[in-house]
Amino acid sequence: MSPLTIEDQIIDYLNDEMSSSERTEFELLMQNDEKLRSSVSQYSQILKEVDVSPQSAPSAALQKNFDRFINSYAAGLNEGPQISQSPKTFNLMGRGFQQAAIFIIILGVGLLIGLNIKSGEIIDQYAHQQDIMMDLLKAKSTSHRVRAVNMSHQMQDKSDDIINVLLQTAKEDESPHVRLAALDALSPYKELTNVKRVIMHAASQDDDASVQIAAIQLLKQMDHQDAIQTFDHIIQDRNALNFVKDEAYSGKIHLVQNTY
Amino acid sequence: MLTDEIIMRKVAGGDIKQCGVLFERYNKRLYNYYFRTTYDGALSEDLTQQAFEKIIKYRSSYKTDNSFKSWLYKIASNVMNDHFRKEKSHRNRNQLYSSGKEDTEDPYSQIDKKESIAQIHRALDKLPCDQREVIWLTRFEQMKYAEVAEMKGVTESAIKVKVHRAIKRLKAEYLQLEKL
Repeated sequence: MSPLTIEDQIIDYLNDEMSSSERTEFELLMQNDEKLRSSVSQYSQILKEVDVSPQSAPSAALQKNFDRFINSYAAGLNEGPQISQSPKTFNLMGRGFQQAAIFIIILGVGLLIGLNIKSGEIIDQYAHQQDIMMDLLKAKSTSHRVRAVNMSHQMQDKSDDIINVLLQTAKEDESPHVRLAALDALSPYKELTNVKRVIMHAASQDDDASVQIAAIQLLKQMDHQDAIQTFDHIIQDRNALNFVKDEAYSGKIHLVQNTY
Repeated sequence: MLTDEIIMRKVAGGDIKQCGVLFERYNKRLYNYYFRTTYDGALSEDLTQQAFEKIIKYRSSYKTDNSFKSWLYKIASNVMNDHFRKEKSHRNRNQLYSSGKEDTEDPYSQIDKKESIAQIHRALDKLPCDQREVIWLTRFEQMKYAEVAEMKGVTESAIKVKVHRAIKRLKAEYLQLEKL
């Protein structure tokens, strides 16, 4: 390794990488050298600023995705052959107990069948709504497509299919009214990575100012630091309308202030 | 409070849910490790998620006498390298980002009272990814050169040289910005 330069020695000194004799020798050097003292102080200040530099926070989607993964992984591990009760134990039960057990099993099976019918009805209803929504989205009439998007509000826990259709609509529908409605429908899912990307795209690329403003406002609510770049893009876009730029500027100030 | 190593041993032994505790302790740090290196929030979240998924998948390869943090960052570093290898755009991405940065208005310029922190951010932004990475690991994570060397599969002296170069470059960039 090449001999240490004075800068290397400063870094070693500040990083506590010197032996005690090297340290004493270096401190003696510092006492007699003002330029060296000034360099040490400069490095020290820079490293302190690095150390206190604030950390960014990931979005809530990260925690949700991890929870979802760990739950499904743990469930997968727990799935294994069921351990059946030994016949010997069963024989130890009294006759009355056996009858009660049979009654409970019959009741349980009945309940399960009932629940399955009910949940089957709910699934059918959901699928029916989804089909209608998809058909309406293909309609030429703008009002029909807005109606289709609004139907999604009634669907609790939207499926990935519905979210993907809404993402595509928010990005590609020819009518700004429909794109606006799709953004609104997606707002509860704004922390999901793919939704966030479409919102950012709408804020900076949509050719309708009302859609841009709605997207900027959603980004402001999300407090995502990576939205700053989107806001910068809008502020510097020569084709963007002034009031859109103002909204982006206000969003940027909001995010920068929330950083510190 | 249980140490990371004890918790990881439980995870390795099949108590997968315990990984939630490790996630709680490290998700923000890992996210920042990626974010300070890539400057892409969405990508950093994806990589953090992938790193934790790999911890669970490869839990049985965790050696009980090793530091959990070193093991975690080794996996995290591999996840990032794999990503860039797949994208084949590590260098392009870096260039794209730094050139984009120069064109945009600085987000930190609005706050005078935090000017010095903003300046250190701007100076860090000008460093290459690998230099930002070693600064993150040795300053924020306070990892020893030996730990980083083990994680990266290189010698301790190679890491020391890298850290020194990164700090010298950081100082040069910082002073350059001060002149502007």
